[in-house]
Amino acid sequence: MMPDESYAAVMTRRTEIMRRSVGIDYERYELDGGIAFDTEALAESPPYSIEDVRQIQLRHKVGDTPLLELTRLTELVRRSAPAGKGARILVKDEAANPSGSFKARRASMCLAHAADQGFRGVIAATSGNYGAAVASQAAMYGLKALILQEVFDSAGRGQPEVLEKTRACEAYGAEVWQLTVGPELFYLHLLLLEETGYFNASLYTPYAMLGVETLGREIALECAERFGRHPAAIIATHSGGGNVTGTARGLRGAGATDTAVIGASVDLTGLHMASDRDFNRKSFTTGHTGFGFPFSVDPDRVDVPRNSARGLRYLDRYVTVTQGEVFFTTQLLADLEGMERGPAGNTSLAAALVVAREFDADELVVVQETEYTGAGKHPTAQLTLAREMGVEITVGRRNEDRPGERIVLPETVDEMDVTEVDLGRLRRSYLRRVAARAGRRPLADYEIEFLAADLNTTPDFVQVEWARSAGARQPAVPVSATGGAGG
Amino acid sequence: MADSPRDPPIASVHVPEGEWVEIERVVLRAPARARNVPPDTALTDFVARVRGFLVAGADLGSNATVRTLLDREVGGRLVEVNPRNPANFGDPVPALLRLGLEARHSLDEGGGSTDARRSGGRPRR
Ligand SMILES: Cc1ncc(COP(=O)(O)O)c(C=O)c1O
Repeated sequence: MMPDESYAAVMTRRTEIMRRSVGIDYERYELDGGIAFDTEALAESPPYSIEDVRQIQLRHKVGDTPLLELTRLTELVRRSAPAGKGARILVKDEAANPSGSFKARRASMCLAHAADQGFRGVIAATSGNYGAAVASQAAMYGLKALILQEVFDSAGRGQPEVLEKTRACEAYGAEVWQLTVGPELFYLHLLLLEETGYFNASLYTPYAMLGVETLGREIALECAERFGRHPAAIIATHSGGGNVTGTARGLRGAGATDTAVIGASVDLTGLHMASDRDFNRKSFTTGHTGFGFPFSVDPDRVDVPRNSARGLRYLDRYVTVTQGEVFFTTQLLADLEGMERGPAGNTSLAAALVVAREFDADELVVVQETEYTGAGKHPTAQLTLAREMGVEITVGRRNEDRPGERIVLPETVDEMDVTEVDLGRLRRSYLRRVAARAGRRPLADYEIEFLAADLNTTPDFVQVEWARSAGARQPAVPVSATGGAGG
Repeated sequence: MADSPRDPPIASVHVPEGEWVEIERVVLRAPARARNVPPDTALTDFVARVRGFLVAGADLGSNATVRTLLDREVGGRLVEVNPRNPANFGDPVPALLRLGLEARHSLDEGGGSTDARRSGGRPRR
């Protein structure tokens, strides 16, 4: 008999489908009470040492990417920085990975795991670089890859960057399901997992995170060797939290505990991620606040029972930049450094051009990734769509920028800035959500400890906010209805 | 939905077996969608498009089955033959070209402070 394919029926089978398709017994890591889990034990569950990971990745053409110093951009920043300030800006050229982004690292360990477990194919629900990364790695392992992407609005208008991803995935031999807007992508994901028996190459497993650790590790080791110091700060484009998590764990594992981890997202506040109307009024498909905020405050709403990507746990600081600032930065990178690179990596670079002014000139600020660029991904492609959608494009001040209505390009680098995200507010929002689910009850000591670590804060903060939030009304930060369309 | 651009032309077009084509299928009709979608999205069907080689000759607009790159069969309405990859580079953005050029000038002509740069030497808008 065919299983019931209605939305409600499939969603009730989700736990069972996820368990079979990911090969991890998440129950083992749960602690009593439904709030806490053993994060470290889950993170360390894959049977690979960091050196094993490196070897697997090198065998699959991943990693060891060049760390490039951006001397001309550094010089430009120093012109407007206070005397003696303006850190050396470096960028890890992750576009050199086979599928053109750091996502190759993340996919590599998922595919290693799927192959070890004897799966014939893998599925990933992702509109971003991860799809191409999974398809590319699957090609190397001789496994099948099926990718689900959110591509169109209801008028059939495709987001150019995602259209490019469809092309790339098919070039690597994947079957692609191109979808209209909506969180039901997750429903279809479950249905196809059931139908095919393939492995769920989720972005959010410990395997995926382990694959990114080498990125932080390579940066820490190379900086120590080349410059005799760790970076003062590394800046990571932040969306679902895996980029920050893996990089931070890799840095720390390599001894760079003194490096500040700064997340950067493109400001898309006001646009709804599951809205058919808003879908093509944004010029970025990832690395933006539409994922960065909801994933920070509600990390476990993903396609596996527990998310191993936990942004707030690792972020020391979180900033936003405007769409216009990222486009301008993309142009500067081409014009001053002779490098054309894609959108997401330039989000953290835009932040670096501002943050570097705060540090001494002999310090290092590392932008931890680039990604490839091309048709659909390029600023001209995105700005052409924006114009067609009625979004105004001007040159002016960043406070005139309105996501979905006006994109403002800065006149010069010294007019760029970053907006600090209040991490305290995100932490409170996270706690209110947990409280709403768990109900008004006292926390056990191990739960306080878990929450403090998960929020990178003190037990006191957790206790005070818990007392305040238990039973409080639902939080103000909007939650994406989507569980895994980013990446 | 009479005039949707994706509707088939009036005269039927036969597509032979083996062509690389695109099919479209409604995964969930609007009323069957998840309850948490925003109101504008809730009015639309949740639709999927998949590409593959046509298993048996069929008319454009009719139901058909494709064999995908994974050698799986998927069915839906036949909507396109040899579908183009539509992503491109769009139109040039002169403002970006100008801003990049100005940054270059200010660096290579030793522009100094912002004020000094404001007063001179930059190309006209
Ligand atoms: C190139 C690139 N950079 C950064 C990110 C953000 O990573 P994360 O979603 O893990 O925060 C993504 C994916 O979403 C990406 O593709």
